[in-house]
Amino acid sequence: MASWGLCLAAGVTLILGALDFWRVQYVSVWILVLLPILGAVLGALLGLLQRTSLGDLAQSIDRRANLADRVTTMSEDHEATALWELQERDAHAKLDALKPGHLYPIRLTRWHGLGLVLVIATASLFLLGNSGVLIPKGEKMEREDLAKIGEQIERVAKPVAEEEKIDPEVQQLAKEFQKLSLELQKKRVPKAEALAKMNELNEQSRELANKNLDQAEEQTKIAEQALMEKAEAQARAETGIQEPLDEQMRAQSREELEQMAKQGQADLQKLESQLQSGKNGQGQSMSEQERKQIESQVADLNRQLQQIELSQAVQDMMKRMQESKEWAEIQKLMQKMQKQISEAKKGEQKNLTKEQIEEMQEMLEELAERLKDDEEMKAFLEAMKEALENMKEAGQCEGMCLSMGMPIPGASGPGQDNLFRDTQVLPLNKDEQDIQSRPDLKAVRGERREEGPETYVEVRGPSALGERSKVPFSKVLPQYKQQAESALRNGKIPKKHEGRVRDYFNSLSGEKK
Amino acid sequence: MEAREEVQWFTQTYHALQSEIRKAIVGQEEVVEAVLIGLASNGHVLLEGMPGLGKTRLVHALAKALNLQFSRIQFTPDLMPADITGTNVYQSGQFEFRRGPLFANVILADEINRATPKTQSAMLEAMQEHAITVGGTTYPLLEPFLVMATQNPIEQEGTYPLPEAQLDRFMFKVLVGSPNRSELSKIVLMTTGEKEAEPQAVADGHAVLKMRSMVRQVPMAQPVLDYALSFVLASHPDSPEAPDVVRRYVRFGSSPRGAQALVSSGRVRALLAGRFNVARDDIRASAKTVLRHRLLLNFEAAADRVDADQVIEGLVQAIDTADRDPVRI
Repeated sequence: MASWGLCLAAGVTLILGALDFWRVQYVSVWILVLLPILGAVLGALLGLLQRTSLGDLAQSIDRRANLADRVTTMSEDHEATALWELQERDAHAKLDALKPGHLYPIRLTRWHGLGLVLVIATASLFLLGNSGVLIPKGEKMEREDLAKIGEQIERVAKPVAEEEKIDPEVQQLAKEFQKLSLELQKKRVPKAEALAKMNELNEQSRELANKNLDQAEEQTKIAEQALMEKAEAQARAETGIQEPLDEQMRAQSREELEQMAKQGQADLQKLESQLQSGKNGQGQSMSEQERKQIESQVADLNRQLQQIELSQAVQDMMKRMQESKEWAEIQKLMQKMQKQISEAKKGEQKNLTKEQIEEMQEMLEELAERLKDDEEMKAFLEAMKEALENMKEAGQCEGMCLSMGMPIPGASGPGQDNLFRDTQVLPLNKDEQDIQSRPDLKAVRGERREEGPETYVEVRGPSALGERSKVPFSKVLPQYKQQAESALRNGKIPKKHEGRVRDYFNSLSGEKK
Repeated sequence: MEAREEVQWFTQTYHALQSEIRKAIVGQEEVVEAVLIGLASNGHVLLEGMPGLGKTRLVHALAKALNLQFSRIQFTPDLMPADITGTNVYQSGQFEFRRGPLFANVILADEINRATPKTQSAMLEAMQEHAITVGGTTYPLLEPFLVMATQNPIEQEGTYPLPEAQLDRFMFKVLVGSPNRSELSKIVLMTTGEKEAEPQAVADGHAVLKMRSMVRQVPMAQPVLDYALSFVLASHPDSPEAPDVVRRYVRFGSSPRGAQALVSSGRVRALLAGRFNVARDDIRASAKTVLRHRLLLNFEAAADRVDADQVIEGLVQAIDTADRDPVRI
């Protein structure tokens, strides 16, 4: 049973080893070591627990000791005849001469052999996959670098993946990052594949970060709206004006409102005096139609004046609110958030750090505590908190992205390209035999600058056309160079990059700068 | 006499008979063994072999060693049942039964396949019942009663091969082979010399009956019996236990008499081995002699030149493979 247990467990281990070898699922070395041992132990325990009948045991002893069925016969119920007695004595005598250790020696069966072969096969597979024997020397160095990046990613992604109160999408992304970091640390992924995966995750991070920033922006607008509504409600209560405030009126400044109020009052007086005198602006008696028209204008003016009054009241209310300490803090927070969101979206500045956001969250909590009796402030504070949460998640996405040495597109920063810092001159495939080999395709993304820090992402990966180039480099160079020159002439290349493009094509054709 | 002494007496008697027979028969150990086991387990033996191989001499020697009545019947196509059983003869105004050659202890039915089926049937009925019926009266035969029939495997013209049902009545079918050079040399010197050694009586009919009684008492375990039964059950091509060789070459398998013969002969072999119980080895040792005339092979076997012994070898192998150690460690 132990050997069967060993075989079974070793079989499972071999499957796990194969999965590890082909990178379907990485398996810990401890699992591979402990599983066969556990299988053998469990098998042995099952064997010990299995009950053996007396008859079976007797037959087994007969077989192993070549007792010619003496013990089997003896163990059966029988009549007390003379021959049976003789048989019994004979069997006893034979049994007495036996040594149990000789009868059931510990021996290796073919099942043990099979188990051993499976264990060896698993070990070989695991070692082949993990020792790097199959990896070319040059690639080993690359994988060393990738392993270091894997550690960085792990440091950033692990706390995010383990965080409980977080957006499931961000958490899922963090898990993907963790998986990638494990693959990188195990040095099992070729550079091209790792980079392709990193790019994919980078793209996802960016999308998620942008989405969260959009949401944060939305929330700050909601918060602003909530504040305005609070002020409007209070103003309406003070003025007794129930009409809703026009958006246009809301946007007017105080001076404009005052001017509009003055003008309105003047116009109203003028129209009212015309109505009282019954004469129009030219001093002629007004017709019934003109009268109705002026009455309508008066009504409009009255409504406009009410709107101005309400708007002024709202602004007064806002001013009063601004005078309170809590309001000042809230407004400071909101401005900071809006600025950060705006800059992060433009890529001009990195998002707030997790610590900064947490600090802001604490401040909000404090404010919420102070303003807990104010029902209308609740909506505003809730929206602010949500916006901060989104900012935090966006920041985490960016963090994971940056941990791979990949910048958030558009963000400036010094030399993030630590993956290809040793990349020098791109190899030129001039001969037919060169293009028959694996291409070393390079893609450059981002923005190179003539001076100062620059941001770009260089990707090496298999050609989209397949694994081989279709046309030798030397044959396509003149055509591409011509197209580049045409683009330069027609001003399609930004001025600051013209030199770079020219240098690039000159270097390809062997001309000096 | 104590049981142990009785067993010793059994083996001594057996070996004494064996050594007396060997005075007249050179070689043919398997044949002598089969005949003696048949004698001890109350079974008849069919000897198949070429003429002049000592079949008659063997039976004669056995009869002498046992001090029993011996009768030889030469089977011919014109032999009538009454010629072997006996007949009522009108004498002194009344019918008197005149006993035929079957009224002996050891019968040699020479070339049994030359007699007509009617005569064969009379013979085989006597073998089964140990009695004959003539004119409505049943006459018991002498005990011990042992028939040893011979048949020639080559000459088929003018013969009446024994039907399977009748073959089944023979406990063993023994193939009598030709002697090798040294055996032949001894045979020639022994039979053409000045004085021929004569077997001496070392036992009698009572001894044989006692031996038969002892054999029936030999203990046998159920797994061993099951092992013996497997041979019979697995010999049927339609049985789930039948191995491939049986399914392919056998038309009909053994009857229950085959199992009886395996067990009885196994018991004798156990005593001869100095054991007090039957072992699987004892059953296996008799498999060929017990089963070879009980398996009816099909046309495919004839076409592939496969004989019953080869099928039995395959059967033994299959049964032994299935019969494993029940305790696995």
